Amino acid sequence: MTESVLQVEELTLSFRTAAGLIRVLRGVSFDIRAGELVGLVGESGSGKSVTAQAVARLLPEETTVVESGRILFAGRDVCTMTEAEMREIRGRRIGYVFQEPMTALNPAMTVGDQLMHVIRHHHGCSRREARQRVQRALEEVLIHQPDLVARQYPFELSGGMRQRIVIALAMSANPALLIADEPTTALDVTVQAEILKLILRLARQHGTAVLFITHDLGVVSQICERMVVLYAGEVVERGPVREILRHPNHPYTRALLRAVPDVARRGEPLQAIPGELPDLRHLPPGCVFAPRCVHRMERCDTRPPLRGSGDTAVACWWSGQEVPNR
Amino acid sequence: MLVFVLFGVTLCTFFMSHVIPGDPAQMMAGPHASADTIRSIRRQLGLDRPLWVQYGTYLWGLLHGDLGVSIRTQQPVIHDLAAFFPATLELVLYAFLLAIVTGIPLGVLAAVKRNTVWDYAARVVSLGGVSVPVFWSGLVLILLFYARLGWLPASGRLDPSLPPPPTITGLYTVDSALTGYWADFFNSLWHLVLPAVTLSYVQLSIIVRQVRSSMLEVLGKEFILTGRANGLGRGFLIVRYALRNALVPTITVIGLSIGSLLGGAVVTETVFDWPGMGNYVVQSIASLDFPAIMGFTVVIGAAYVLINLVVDLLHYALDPQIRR
Amino acid sequence: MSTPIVARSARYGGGRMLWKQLTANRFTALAVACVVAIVLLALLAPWLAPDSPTSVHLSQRLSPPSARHWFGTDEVGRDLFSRILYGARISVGVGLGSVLLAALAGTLLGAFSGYWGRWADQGIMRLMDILLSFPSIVLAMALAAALGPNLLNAALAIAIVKLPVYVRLARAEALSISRQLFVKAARTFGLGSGWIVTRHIIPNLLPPIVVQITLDLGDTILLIATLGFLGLGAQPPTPEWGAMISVGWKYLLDQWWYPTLTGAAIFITVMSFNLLGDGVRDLLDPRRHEEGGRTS
Repeated sequence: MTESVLQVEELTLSFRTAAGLIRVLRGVSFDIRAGELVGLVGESGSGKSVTAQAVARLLPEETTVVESGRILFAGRDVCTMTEAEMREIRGRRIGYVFQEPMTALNPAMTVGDQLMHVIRHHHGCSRREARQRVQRALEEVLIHQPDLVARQYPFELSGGMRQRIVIALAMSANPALLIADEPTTALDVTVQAEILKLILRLARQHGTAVLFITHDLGVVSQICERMVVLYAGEVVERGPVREILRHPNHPYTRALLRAVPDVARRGEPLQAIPGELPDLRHLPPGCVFAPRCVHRMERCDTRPPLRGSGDTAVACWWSGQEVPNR
Repeated sequence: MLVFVLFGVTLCTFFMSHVIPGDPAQMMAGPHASADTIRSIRRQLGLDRPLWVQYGTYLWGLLHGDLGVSIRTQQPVIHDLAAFFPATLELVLYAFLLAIVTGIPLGVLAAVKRNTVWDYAARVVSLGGVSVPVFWSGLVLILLFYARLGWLPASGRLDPSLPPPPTITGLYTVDSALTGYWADFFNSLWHLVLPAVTLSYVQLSIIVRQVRSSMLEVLGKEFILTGRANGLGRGFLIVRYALRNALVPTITVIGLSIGSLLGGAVVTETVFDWPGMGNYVVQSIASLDFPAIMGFTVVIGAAYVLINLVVDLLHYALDPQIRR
Repeated sequence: MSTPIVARSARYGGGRMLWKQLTANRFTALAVACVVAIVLLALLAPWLAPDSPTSVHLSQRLSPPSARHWFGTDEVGRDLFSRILYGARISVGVGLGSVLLAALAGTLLGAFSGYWGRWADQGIMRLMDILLSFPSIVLAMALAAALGPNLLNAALAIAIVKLPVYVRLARAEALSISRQLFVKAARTFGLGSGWIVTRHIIPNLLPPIVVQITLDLGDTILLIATLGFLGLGAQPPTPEWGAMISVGWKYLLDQWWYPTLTGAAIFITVMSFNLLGDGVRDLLDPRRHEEGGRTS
């Protein structure tokens, strides 16, 4: 078994707000091995992006409280690193691609200059060498006229082009881990497929591990090997994508699957999940999904632990009955 | 635009000043003049002709750089203004520079250290600046630094004992430095401190407010996060990424705030007995010298329009979206 | 600009809610308290003032602050505290009148300009451009000088200076509203344009106009004092703050309290109104909801 690039262990994290502390992640655990693509799945508000930003420590320091747990990147805890150490890791060891390519680039600087700054920061090379590297980085993300594009400002480029630039930035130092936070959500369907293919290809080519954040199970099924399902700040299920898609154990995962056209089994009608995400300030005492769950039982008033063996685990009393000791 | 604005404003002030009583001929002649004298002065000034003819004459003169003759000084207004212009320019220039070099860093600091003591301090300072009457802040500074401490002079551009430097630009600090009149240089700089500080305060507050709010807006944008995620340093991000973008809206506001600087100069010059155009116009007001008042208004209006033209050009340079 | 009408009126609606929100922020609460105090002082000046603002006591001229004359006396022995209290009436009253005049005239001009368009719109907007292309103090000075230096004319001049903001505000709103469906519907029912303007456009305009008024109050009071100081506003012996400082300037070095305390009154008043204006704007500006942590 290959070693883990990233291990998130029992991460509990809160935001300090005017209304007091709000716990947005509770005991989140998962890991990513070198070169592996892992999908982090959930509705918006489930804590996906928070998890991702916590890994790169991009959350605002003043309002974020890590209550317990660790985030081990290459064996070292990200939470206890100094900002200077963190800067060595961000971009260099962990690349990051954001959801919104429209706003993810500095509007007042040409994309070439932005790439140049980042590349020179990473490699400490001369302007001339950096310029060549910019060219190569743009070619890597399949931009056909790198010279021309480098001189353009973000607003002159299409959404897909911009997202390529963001990917080029993120991959410029050949990181061990790429965090892609809903990189295709804001794009047209046709462009989505291209960007997905690009990320997949770059990851394979460079042996980069990818944490792929999405609410779209279809996307996960296309590119990820394992997946982690997050609900209201808790991991409710995790395991190999193929197994989960064939055999979803948690009622929430099932509901999610039924809500996706591509993955839903033929013949079964598409279904929206009734109810909405619980208010993080007033969570149910037991299972967080219980209020929306069709299989709710008496036992669900106590919190189900995340149980399982090997790669697979689920936090559910009901599925624990049905599939004992997998 | 410029021509249009000048046309409009001269029209407004001209007709208003002539429809409303307050007879300049009476003012010139003095309170005890006979009706005959007044009548002859009226004829001499062209005041007996129909209003639109008078206005036409005035506009015609304006096109040739003629702003009429001051009733008070009996000199062409354009000469008077030209004589007082350099002093005003020097004061406004220093105040402007002061406001920029202190206002921008203060605004950035307030935004970066949001909700800390720095931020509150910057907010109180800027609230004070937009609320304080220029004549009162000048007064307090005079009381403190001139009357009580005796550190700084409170009137004029130069000690009376010093001969002014040879005129090149009319700006004492520049002329004295160019010609090596170092005593004049330091002395005139010394005299500039209180009026420039007083005048800059209003604009400083406007700049601090604007920089703070646009920095806060830009710092919340995703591309700052991208920069951080790519390992770029905080200082680099604040200056090259955030400030660079925050400057675009700020430039516009700075341009508009120059209006308050020009207006404030009138009051500041009065307070510090600064021999500039503002002082001149206030004295003209006291004697209802309309050609002088209108001349001043036209010149300031033109300057303001020109400044905002420069601002547009700067905008063009700073914002790639406009440039392309 | 095309906020649904219902949502908007709900946002601004409810006087008691507004009051609660206004006093929720510490700074704004302070501003409200100060403004209320200043207005009360101004209203109650005849009862609160220990002396008439104009009664001369030559024997007590330029006396320093004391138990009898809290703020001292001026060059002819008038009680400064009384004069400053009465000055509050002038500043706040004339300031409010001036802004209201600008708001009223500006709203009407702007609403009709936006609604009717064409040459009337062109003409009005060009005129506003002209007014806007001058620094406000300079324009106010020129207008006040042209009208003749007295308090009423100063107020009028300031109202003219403040006019363009309201015209633009009202015009933009009128433009967007007149394109909306219910106005078109009203027109097809054969309802006159006067009806549409007064019944639909102006009520919708009120909230932004009110915000603008509170924002402008401080600046207007400051402008009145400045014109007074320059000899273009109220004339002595009217107890107007700016004019008082203009006279008191002569006594700056020996009787410092005279101009200093008068100026402090201006400063505190303007600051309170500005703080209130900021508070009201922050409250009603939808962008204030930018804060709060994202959860995903």
